[in-house]
Amino acid sequence: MPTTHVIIGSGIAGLCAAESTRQIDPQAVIRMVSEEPHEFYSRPGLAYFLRNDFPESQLTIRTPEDVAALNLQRVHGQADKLACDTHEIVLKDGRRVRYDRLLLATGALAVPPPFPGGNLAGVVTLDGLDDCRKIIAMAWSGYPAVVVGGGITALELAEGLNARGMKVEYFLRSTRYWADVLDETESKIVMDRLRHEGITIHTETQVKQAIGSDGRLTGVETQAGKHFPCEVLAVAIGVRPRIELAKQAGLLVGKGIAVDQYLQTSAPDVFAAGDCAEVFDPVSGKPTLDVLWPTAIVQGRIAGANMAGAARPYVKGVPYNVTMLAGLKVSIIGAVSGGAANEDLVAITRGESEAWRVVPKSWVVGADDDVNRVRLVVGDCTIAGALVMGDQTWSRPLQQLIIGKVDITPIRPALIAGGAEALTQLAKFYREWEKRV
Amino acid sequence: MVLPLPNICSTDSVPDTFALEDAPLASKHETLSLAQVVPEAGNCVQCGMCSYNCPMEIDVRAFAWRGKPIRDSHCLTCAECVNRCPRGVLRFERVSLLTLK
Repeated sequence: MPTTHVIIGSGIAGLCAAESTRQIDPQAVIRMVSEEPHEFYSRPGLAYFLRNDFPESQLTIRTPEDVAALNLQRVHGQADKLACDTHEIVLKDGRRVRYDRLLLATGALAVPPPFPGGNLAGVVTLDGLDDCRKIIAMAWSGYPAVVVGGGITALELAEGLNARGMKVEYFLRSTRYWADVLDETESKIVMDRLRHEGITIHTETQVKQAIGSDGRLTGVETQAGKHFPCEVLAVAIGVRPRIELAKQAGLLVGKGIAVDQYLQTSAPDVFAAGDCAEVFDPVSGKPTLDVLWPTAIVQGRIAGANMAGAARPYVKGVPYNVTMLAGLKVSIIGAVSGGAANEDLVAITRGESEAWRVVPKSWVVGADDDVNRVRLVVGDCTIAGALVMGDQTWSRPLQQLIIGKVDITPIRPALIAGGAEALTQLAKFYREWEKRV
Repeated sequence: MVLPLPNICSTDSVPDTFALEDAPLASKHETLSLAQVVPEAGNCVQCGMCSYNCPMEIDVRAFAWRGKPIRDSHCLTCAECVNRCPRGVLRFERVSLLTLK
């Protein structure tokens, strides 16, 4: 009898798990349960679709041949209950799906608007393709929109709506953008560029309530009593892992679904991977969330292999992300904290790792102009983190030095001194290190 | 095998800090004629910006997420994908043609 693998979730972790399982076990039955009827698509790509950089069809990440070769049974529906003792899940419509091995790859969902009026038509969050389509349908050129929140998703919404011709008012609760990851200068660079694109930024501004008539949004009122008319109110104040199913089944959960080093949950034959999983971080000694696409890929692959009988440990790597902020490429590697609290988020946002916020002192090196910037967080004998803004030449070398925990003691004084000379020393050091490995 | 040649070469400006006496960078012409587009698969979010902008309609993404050099006889090494990638995944690198599969 072939083994039946059931995967809940059709995001990148679920897909990579299916690919990994199939590679090891060609006979296995693989069922994927998901509410999303779409073909596999790139969640990070939604930002570029929203911005009208390319058409929706471009989001598809696997060819029909790739999908056919996977020999996957898609089950459209929402998992409502997990019965570990009988090894089955119950869908909302009452159907039952039995499993030998189960993967929870349920992802994370946007935190709903916390203010009154959050359920009016026109108030949106961005999680998946359906949200993106809905937002695009509402984004009428020339009309006003309000965007609320910090982090990457809020900017994607602000820039997307702006690119579609809406008059965007961007509300920040604090005095600057993404204060817990970017330093003051970096925040300022991003904010200046957003203004240049035509987005109006309101700092220290909070929504008191969304106002509407006949269930449809007409505007927002701020805490200070100001009124802004708007057609769209986009809210991106963080995401929360979807753990209800695991919690109700009595699995061990924290902020996410707790997993061991093999990505197995506290229940036999049940695994978890991606945004919904909480892994143990050997650096901080704490369970940690990464809401990052590359992490979801690696975890999905490992969980899929382990479901098929392998025993691959997951070793949490240095969290890394490259993203576009106001048209600028920004790499964030390791611990980079911006040194301030971020009041704009109530939870971790997409494209972030909790591990970024660990803070030693940092030095800016090679900040030779307004845009291109390299900020290093220098530890006792290694580089603990880096933020590379603009020109990305330094991104890959720094990623290697940070991940490899390379001993930089010989150039540490030069790095701390900062400036162009620090980069020259670092370049020389990197070339020699690379030759050796 | 990836030859230890210009590991850092963007097609546009190269910062002064890399003009090191012991490791001269390949000229733009050399890079473009001898090198291939190589991905850093771990950073690829499979958004498809590269494939969408390729003038030769090469599905660059299909190579990129698998971590394979873009090996397609139609590739012009025009750098459109390298420059358009919002995540800096693609770069030019000299790759030994003998060891490519």
